[in-house]
Amino acid sequence: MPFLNAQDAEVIRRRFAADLDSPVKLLLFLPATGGLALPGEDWQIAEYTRQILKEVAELSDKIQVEEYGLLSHGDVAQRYNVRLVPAIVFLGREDYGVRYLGLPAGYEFVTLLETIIAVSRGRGEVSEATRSVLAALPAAAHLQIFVTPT
Amino acid sequence: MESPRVTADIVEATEFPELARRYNVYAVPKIVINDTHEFVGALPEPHFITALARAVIGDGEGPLEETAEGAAEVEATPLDSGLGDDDV
Repeated sequence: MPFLNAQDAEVIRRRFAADLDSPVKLLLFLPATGGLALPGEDWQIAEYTRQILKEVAELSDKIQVEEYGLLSHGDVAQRYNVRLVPAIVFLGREDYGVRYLGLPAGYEFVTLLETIIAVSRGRGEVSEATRSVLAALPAAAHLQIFVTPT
Repeated sequence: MESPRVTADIVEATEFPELARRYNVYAVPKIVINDTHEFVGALPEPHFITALARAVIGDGEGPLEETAEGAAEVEATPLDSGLGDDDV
């Protein structure tokens, strides 16, 4: 059964057509083995994530999904600093350092869509005051934002 | 996106319980900055960027502790509310 119904898919398709700018590549990192869950790996969650990304990518030719195995493509995982799966790496004109760990469903589906759009545009929706603080940051900041789908 | 110095992981807390435990995530959204500073709740943008800047600069007062209490705009959801009825 598809994740998106036809009506929602159409709304998202129109939003993407209006708001996407540069092409976006979503790198999806999956558990090591197809169907065989290793301890700590939930293949079903990975499978749902894959399904959602597939359906989202079908709504715009600017969105492309590439799948990698955490172990079978260890070099790629390392390059993008991915250690846990499922993980989505969002690439726009460059790697802005944005990752999503887990299943972007429920309320977090909106997060997925908004992140795709922001990465495509290469800028977020922040004020000039925020931009000037960010420009003056003397060192790196790594944020971990813990969320749940509800 | 606005700064090459800022990177972000969005973590689905229920699917990565070991990470949630490590950072004592009892309510969401919880934001952890550079493993050292943290706050709970969706802060308004000016407060958020202030918290971020203080975490990076290090304000000498130890970990920042801004919580849902006292901030009217903050919405924090207990982590265990609604678990198990996720509409996937």
